[in-house]
Amino acid sequence: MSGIHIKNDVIAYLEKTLLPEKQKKIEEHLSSCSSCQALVKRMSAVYFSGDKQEVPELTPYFYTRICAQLENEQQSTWEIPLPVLRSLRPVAAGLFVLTAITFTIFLSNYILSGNQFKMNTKVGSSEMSYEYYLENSGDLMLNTIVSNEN
Amino acid sequence: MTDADLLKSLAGKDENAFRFLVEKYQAMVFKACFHILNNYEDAEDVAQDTFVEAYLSIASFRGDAKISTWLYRIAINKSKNLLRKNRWQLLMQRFDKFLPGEKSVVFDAEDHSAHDDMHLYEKNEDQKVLWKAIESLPENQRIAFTLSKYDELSYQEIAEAMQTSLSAVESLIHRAKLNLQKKLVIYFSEK
Ligand SMILES: [Zn+2]
Repeated sequence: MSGIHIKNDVIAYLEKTLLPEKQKKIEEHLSSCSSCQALVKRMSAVYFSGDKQEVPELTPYFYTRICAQLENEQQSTWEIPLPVLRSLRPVAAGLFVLTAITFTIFLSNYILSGNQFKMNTKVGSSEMSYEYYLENSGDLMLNTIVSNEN
Repeated sequence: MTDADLLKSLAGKDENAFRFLVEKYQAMVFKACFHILNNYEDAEDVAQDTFVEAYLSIASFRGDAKISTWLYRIAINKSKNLLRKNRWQLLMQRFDKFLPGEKSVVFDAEDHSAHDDMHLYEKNEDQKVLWKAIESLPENQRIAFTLSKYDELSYQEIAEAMQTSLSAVESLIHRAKLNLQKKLVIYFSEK
């Protein structure tokens, strides 16, 4: 038997999981082949070295650390929206200003038109953009006043 | 306390039951992670994440497996994620250093990066060679092999933990041993 065959079976030989016949053949070969003997010796030392290795001790603070992580994870479900909310601040401020302007315009329109929102029925079509409305709201109010007088 | 009693208490978010779970299974989970990852700090982090996920996902556990199997499943998934992340980082490091990729095919027991020094500090020369070879195995072979050899799980227990068939586990462990043998024989012939 050549060394090539031993190379393919050396772990199985060491674990004694080969068929008895093959196990015996390898033993016979080893008795007369020093290079295969050396390989088996080296493989045995390395392969079984893992069995002797101890597992290090776990930190005594393991449970405390788990509790701390759990607390963080549970808090974070509430903290996640905060950065999103922060990034939405300018948008919220813009919306607030627009709402305030709109409210002021409608309020003044309401006062000037004698407590009636007639402007909407006359020129407030769905095609009219908000910008157009802002730019022309003075004229619109005049129109409303005129229409009211009529 | 039986598994069923423990599960019932855990479902009610009973803190004492959770503490009992951690104390009963922490060594088992850490040991498996330590063998799969071959790194103390990583194993501790993954073991910690395993119990955190167990606590958060207790409601979705149907009790169709033993608690130990359920914990092994979480630990294996988390270990796999970390192995993939580490592999990606290593790939990026190699890319940065313009090292040829062929190096990863075999392995070099002397190739100690800063990462390796952290987890090889307690090993002798033979153990360093062995673990380098185990680390170079494909992920599932590495997991099945270490669970069998160093955590002493039966093939059936490994199949349940890895959520695969018994024959798949037999094949994984068989191929793991052949690969280890091949890598070690090449390593010895080069020395
Ligand atoms: Zn020979």
